[in-house]
Amino acid sequence: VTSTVLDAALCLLLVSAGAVTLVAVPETGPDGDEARRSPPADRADTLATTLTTATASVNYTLAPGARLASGTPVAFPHTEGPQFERTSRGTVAGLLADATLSGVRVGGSRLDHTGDDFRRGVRARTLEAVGANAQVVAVWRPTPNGPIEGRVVVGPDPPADRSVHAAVASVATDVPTVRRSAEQRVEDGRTATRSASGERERLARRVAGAVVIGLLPPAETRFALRGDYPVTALTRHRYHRLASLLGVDLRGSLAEDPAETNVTRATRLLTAGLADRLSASFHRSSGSPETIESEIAVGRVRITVRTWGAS
Amino acid sequence: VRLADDRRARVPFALVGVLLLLGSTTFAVTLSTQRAPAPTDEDVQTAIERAEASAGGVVRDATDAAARDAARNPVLDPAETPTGRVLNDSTAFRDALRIRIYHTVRNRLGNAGSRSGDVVASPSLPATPNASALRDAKGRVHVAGVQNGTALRVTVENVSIVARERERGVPGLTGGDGAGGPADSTGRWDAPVVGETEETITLTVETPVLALHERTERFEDRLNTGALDGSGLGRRLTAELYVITWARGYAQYGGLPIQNVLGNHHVEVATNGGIVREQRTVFGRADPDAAAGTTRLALHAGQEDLAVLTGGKKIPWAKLALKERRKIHDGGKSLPGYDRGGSTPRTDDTLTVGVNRTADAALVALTGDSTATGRGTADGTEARSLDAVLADAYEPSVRLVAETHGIEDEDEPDPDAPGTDWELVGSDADRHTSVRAATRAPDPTIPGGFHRLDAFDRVVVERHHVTRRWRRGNETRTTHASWTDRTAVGLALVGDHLPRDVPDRPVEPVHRTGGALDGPNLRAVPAAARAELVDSRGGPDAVAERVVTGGLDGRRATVAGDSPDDLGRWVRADLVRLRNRVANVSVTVPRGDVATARANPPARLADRIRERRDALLSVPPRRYDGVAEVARISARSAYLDRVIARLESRADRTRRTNERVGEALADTGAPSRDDLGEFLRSSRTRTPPERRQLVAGPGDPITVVPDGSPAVLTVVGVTRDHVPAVAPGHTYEPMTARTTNVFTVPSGEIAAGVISSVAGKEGHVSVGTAGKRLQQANGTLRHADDAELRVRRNSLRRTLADRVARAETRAAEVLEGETSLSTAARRRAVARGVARWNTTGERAIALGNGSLATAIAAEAVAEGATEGPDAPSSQVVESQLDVALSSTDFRRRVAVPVGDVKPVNRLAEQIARKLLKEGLKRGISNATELAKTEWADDALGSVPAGLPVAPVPGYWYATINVWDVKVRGQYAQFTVRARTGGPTDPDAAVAYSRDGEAVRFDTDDDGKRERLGWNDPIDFEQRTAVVIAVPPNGNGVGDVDGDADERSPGWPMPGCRARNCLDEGNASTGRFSGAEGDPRAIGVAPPQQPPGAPAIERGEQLF
Repeated sequence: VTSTVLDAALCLLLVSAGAVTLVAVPETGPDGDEARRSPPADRADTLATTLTTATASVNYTLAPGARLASGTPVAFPHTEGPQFERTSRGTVAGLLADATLSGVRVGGSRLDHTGDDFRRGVRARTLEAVGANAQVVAVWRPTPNGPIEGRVVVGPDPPADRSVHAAVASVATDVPTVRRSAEQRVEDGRTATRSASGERERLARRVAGAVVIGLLPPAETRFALRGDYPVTALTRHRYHRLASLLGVDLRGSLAEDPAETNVTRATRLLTAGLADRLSASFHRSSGSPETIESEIAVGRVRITVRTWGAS
Repeated sequence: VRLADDRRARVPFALVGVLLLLGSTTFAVTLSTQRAPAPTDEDVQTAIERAEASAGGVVRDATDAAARDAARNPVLDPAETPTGRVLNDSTAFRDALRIRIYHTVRNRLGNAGSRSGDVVASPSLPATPNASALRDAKGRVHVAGVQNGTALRVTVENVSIVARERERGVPGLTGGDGAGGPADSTGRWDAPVVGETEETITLTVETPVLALHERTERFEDRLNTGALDGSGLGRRLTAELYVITWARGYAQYGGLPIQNVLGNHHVEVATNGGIVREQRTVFGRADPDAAAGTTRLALHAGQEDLAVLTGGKKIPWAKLALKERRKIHDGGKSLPGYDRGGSTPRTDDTLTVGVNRTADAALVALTGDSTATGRGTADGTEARSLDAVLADAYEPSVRLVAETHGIEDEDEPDPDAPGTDWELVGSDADRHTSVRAATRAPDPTIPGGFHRLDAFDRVVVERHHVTRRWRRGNETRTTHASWTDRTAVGLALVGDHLPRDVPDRPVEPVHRTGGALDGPNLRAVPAAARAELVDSRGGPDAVAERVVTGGLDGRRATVAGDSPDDLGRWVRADLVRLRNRVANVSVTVPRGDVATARANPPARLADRIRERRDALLSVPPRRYDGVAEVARISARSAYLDRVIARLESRADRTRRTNERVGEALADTGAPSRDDLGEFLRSSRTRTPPERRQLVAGPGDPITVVPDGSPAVLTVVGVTRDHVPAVAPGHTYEPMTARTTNVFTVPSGEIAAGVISSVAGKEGHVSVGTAGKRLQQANGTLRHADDAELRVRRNSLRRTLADRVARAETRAAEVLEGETSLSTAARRRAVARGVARWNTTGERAIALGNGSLATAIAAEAVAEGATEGPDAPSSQVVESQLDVALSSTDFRRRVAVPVGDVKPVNRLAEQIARKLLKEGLKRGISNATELAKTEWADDALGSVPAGLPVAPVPGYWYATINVWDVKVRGQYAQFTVRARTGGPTDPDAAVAYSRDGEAVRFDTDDDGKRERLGWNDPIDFEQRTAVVIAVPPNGNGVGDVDGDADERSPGWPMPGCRARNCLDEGNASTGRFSGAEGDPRAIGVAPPQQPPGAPAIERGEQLF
């Protein structure tokens, strides 16, 4: 009897172990959390796709740029009127990228307020596109821990007690990319003796050039400076503001009279000023030039979509 | 219990459990190893779909960005390079846009990768390292404008999407600055391909780039549309110039001291005004700087006019028009200072031309003072004097008419030979006629227009005898025979009372006293006619006999009746009334037709008189009240004939004058008369004030704002101060103009060739004009003493006093001939008439415009010239005096040598300018105010100008003038902005810009930009002409500043005076640079090319 009881008990034990094995296998498999997606994660991806494909139109005014302008010699005789009215159309992601760049901060200070109303409009459009229980964060950070950053946040922070799913999209901007051509790489390889600090300097100059051209594209500012108020004043204000934030003196290269304005020179001065700031930040960072370069993202804006389940 | 002891061969439960455990483990392992590595089809599909979706987003944003770039640097003209040849000539802009879209999409697709599970799908397009690849790339992209061009339907064909299995541990989508290439973000190129597809993406991107291009092209087209070709700048310019010219021309005519009626600065204002309106038409709104600048330009043009007037310094208005441009943002309204005043006539207003003096001249000629007619017998041989006309009325033609009826008509008996062999050797016929009164006789038919004055009925009996002689041998014999014919003869004496030119009406009474004037009428005429036609021929019997015998003289004869004594007086008075009516007959001709020398008012006046002839004759409706009335109507008829004949001769001369004006125009190279007419018509064609805003489908309008640099196209060169694009030290000519005034004083030979001279004498001016000069000189001397002017003035005054004295003598002669005033009374009348004006100048003017004759006539009437039995009416006195004092001969006699007038003119003008300058210092700021001040009115005169249309001296009915205007312009840069775009774009707008620069674009990603082509600057050329006609007298109209052919400094070519005067590589490829422009297109000499400097085309040297 005893043996029979033991036998049966052993059998039951083994059968249980087998069952447990079968149940446990899928859950402990590799990539389990991704292989079996939960619905909220799907939603984040879907929203990211929506942002890059859906189009929206934003009516806005450039007036805050004139109204809130200060700290530069540029005068704004009018701060409202139809000449401030603008419309922008594009994909929501594209609008978000524009909004991010328009709200760029240098060393923590906002460059200007020209895009304030635009950002308000873009936030509203984005919110319409993603709905509740989602947050969209668009970030333009050309260098890690650098002085330049633009960020637009749409929607509330996710609640701490909810599981959050995220998707990431990146949008190309008009800012030129900092990509070394093959020739440059070869050349760099040949001059391997170059010091790491020199490498950082060069990288800073490249990034600074791209960023300045991205913020104030010379071909277009030249146009704008010869155009009509308020665009002329806003553009000059942007130059002066960037200059003052970078500690650069633009007198002599940017005047009210377009004839006395030298955009090329202004761009060069601003680039030099920003390069100094960037190289300082590169020196502070511990990474090698190659590491830093791999983290540079001048030409695109990263858009992160976070979603969470309804409470 | 041991298992081994069990002999029942039982299988333990545990063993079954072990087997079960092993099985489940194996299954579990199989299960877990099967899942992970193999991607499912679902993942590939999802990844590709997502990649496709995000590629769509990329295409959308990239198209927007590419469109902005393409608009900023539009390609209008492909380059002759391998890259440029990829672009089609006719669709260069679109092709360049397609290439830009392709490249922007390609560069941005790197971010469009997406993944699903382990599958990464990345869209891509191939690179374009060479021209043929570029051509393929162009072929992959299609663009079409939708929603009125405010959106772009873009298709990108065959975007390749490759799905690859992702390697474990690769960061995937979260990589670094990966925009540069697909490899960075979407997996490794060497990863296994798990799916591949090609997608064609089509979507609509809201960017107005095509609309901006198309509208700018339309704008340029319209700037180049001539006045005769349709709606556009030419028509607006012409209309605007007409407004300016007519306003200023009439102001000048009205006495405002305007020297330059239409100058280049007016053309400048008008052209810019037209351009502003064109901008509103094409873009929906105008460049605010252009509108404000044009307003200022107009203001400065007004000041310029004043400055010229005062001899002051010219204001460099380019500076004023362009500087401070950023401070004014209000829209320009209409051009101040050039608004048409309410009183200024328009081209389609009419000029009234009356018969006027022709009525007097015809009257004087008719009433027979041969010395006063003086102009030959234009009315030809038909002309009868009034006396002849009246006599004709009282001399009816009379004649006899007869009707016979044979009562008895016997035949002559046949010869009755006395016997055989008798030979008739001769016969003598004899007739005996006797006439008796008869009671019955046929009524003669009375010819039309005649009526019976008397009648006689007779029977004429003819007895014929014939005596025949016969012979036979030597024997002769005579036989007799006789027969009788009896004929009834109705004889009538008929008369025609109505002269041929009088409508047919019965006259009653006619042969008895009564009717108008209660005269004898033709009371005596029947008797006289009978005496003339019957009695003098032997009485009725003899006449009746003559009827039968075939000898009636049926010719007309005239018999004079007695006219009443006061007939002549009565008819003359009536003619004067008719003269008044005729003189007031007028026709209206459009001033424009007069100005273009296509009108012939005298011909129309003659037609008008002919049409109204019956009404003017005032023929009584039923019958003439006596012969006096017939005489009166006959006189009227004769008078009207003369008026018409004179008008026709005037018309003939007008026609010849018009033809000669045309020849004169041809000689000066101005447009022909017909072309002038066409320009005139086009100036009246209103260009509808349409504003075409860009509307994006059903949505909001898109604000499009043009922005020219320079905003205002000036006819003087601009520098970097005004147009930033101009290189330092260079000058840019935005606009060039040439304004030619055809009939000016210096070109007076033309006028002399066309007409004799208004004064009727070479080298002389009319007495009226000279009088005006004297007045002006007097006025000037009142305000500023000048010794030389005083001397000259005195000399002119002496001459004019002499001319007035001649007029007095002539007037006294006329009074002597026409009236019965005593010598003393005549002298008194003349003296009092002249004394109505105080100064010699005024008297000369009065002599010139005919009011002196009127005044003397009035004084003569006051002296009693019209009293007395034979006295003429006051009208007759006035007409006679007027005709005498305005006859060609007399005008020649009183014309004043030009040498007497010119120095006075010149001096008075100099002094007047000085005065004006002082006046300006005193604060008179504009010309209108200036004109109101009394001294300006006195002091300022202007030289006569324009072409007097006066086929015959004394019949000057208008003064015309013509301006030939040519203008060309070119914008250094012309930008059109549509206010769509994000704030990161400094303009926050799509800016379409044309500046003649080369367009370069890196098509093969080698870091160097290839030349795609050029964009052409906006340029235009226009030619038009303005004509004006002002009423006669006055000073006429025209430029009197001596600069008939006014050319702007840069004429003929606008743009850079030196090569490449624009900085930033502007190669200015406009039609006006290099050999492209065909200057002959608008009839100007080709530009002077510096010798040995072949035009460097298209700025080749830049590359």
